[in-house]
Amino acid sequence: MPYIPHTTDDIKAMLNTIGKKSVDELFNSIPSKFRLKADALKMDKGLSESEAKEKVEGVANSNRVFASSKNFMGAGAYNHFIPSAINHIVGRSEFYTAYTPYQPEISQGTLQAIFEFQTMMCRLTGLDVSNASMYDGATALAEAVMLAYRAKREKKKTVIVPKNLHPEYDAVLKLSLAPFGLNIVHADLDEKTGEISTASVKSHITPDALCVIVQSPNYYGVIESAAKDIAAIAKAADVIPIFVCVETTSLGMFKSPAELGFDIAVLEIQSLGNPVAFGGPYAGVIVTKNEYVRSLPGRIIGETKDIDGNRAYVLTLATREQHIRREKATSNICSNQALVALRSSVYLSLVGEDGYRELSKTNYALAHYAKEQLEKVNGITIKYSGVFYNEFVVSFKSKDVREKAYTSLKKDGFLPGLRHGENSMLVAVTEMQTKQSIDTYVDSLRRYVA
Amino acid sequence: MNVKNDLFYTKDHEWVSIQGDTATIGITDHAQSQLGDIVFVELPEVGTSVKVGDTLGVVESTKAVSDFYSSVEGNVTSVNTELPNTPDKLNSDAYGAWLVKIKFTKKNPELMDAKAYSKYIEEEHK
Repeated sequence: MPYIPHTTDDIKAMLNTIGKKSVDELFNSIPSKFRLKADALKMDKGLSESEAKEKVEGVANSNRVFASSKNFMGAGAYNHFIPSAINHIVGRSEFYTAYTPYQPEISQGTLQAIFEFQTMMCRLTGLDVSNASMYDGATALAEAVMLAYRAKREKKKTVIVPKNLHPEYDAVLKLSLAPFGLNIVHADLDEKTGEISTASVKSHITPDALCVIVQSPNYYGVIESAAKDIAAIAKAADVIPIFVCVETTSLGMFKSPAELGFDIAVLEIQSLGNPVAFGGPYAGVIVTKNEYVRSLPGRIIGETKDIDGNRAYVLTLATREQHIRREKATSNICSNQALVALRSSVYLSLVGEDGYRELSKTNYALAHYAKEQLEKVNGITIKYSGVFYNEFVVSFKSKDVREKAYTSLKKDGFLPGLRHGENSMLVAVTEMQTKQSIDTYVDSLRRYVA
Repeated sequence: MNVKNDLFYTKDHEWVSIQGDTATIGITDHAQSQLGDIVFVELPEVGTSVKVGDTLGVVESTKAVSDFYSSVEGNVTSVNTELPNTPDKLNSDAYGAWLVKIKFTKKNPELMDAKAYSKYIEEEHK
């Protein structure tokens, strides 16, 4: 696409047409104190390439990079192995530089990749139909609530959110749902198990209850063992159950949302081939039943045949995207996280079905090994008793002890976990750890809490 | 283009059949031919109260998405529940495939008869 700037004559002609003397005059409606003055951007003289490189490298070197086997941080962003093939495949210019596939005749590769992604998401969740991906798990969850809202013809406005939902997801829900007048009520957790309290969910089921959200594994890493009951209770009361999974590798060994009776599932797919890097780019996805397909935000790619009978892919459903009918759009999403989703598709195809199950089991086994070792340490307790996947909460005797342990572990090269509450820490263990790295971590902790 | 004599018509290309205090609404043969293959129909809920000009639902074809509107004021008494599963009936039998029945108290005074509507679509295409 050529970049053709306006000439001074062009600008003069345009200003004459609209009766303005200068470009500045176009901005008169903005009070002058808010307008950027010409001399406000005091920029230094440029740097040479080698100077610029040195400067940028200096900034980059101030990052502290933790060895993968010493990274025990999770809390919504998980450090998993990323096969090198992903970067090579996704880095191909056909994928890397492709624009959104509005024209099927020139976008078959991109469309097929999205179609396969959707197929994989349906298989992971057991549900009928998946969109092409969205910004991230948290925004996808907000969109899923809006889907439920439309499905119930915008009549019910109470959203039941568990207190053990990822706090950032909770914050995004609050921000996104407020303009629609939806109310969030929080279901308590069982302080012993770390699971959502079924009794508390029940107490919030009123005629105005629209949907109930269940995150499993939840923010504390605990599997919601009553998820199936909660889904059944909700459906019996005409409330839509929504399943959220932030650590999607867990689906390799725990029941799928469809098996648990959920009609809508939201996944964050960072775990599947995407690095943990300053929170992004990540991608979310909504997978649901056929009956909700028309309310599903985003786009869906479908398989069809061209006039010669060859297999072909097209943007089948995008009718609710903002660019088609803006005033009727169900969401402000106009595209999808194609490249991040592609990474996940490539990841899943490289890992394979058996590999995926194995990966889950490895995460589970290593995390349980870590928990057992930590439990033996005097001064450390495991906060919740519920079944967990690859993350759990450890509690220290006091805040001071935790702080000492945290900073000391960091000095030893560990990213120890995420400090949580007064005296606890969220610890995640993935396949990137080894028995040995866990032992070193536990030994260090033992020293620091003594 | 098929325009039936015993019906009333709107500028948005809906047909209206008035029987007593019940109005039956559909889309015209002209509308379906302009839209092309219709693949989706969204209908209102029975019991919804509507005014003249309110959106009743959505008709979607492979080419376009269009709302259809109420030409009367009243309450929706029934909807054609077969249509969401067989939207192509709107193409094959536009005047048989009704969308919504409304028990009405008022109607749009600008409804056209068959002759006026035929002229209207002719003008629109000039």
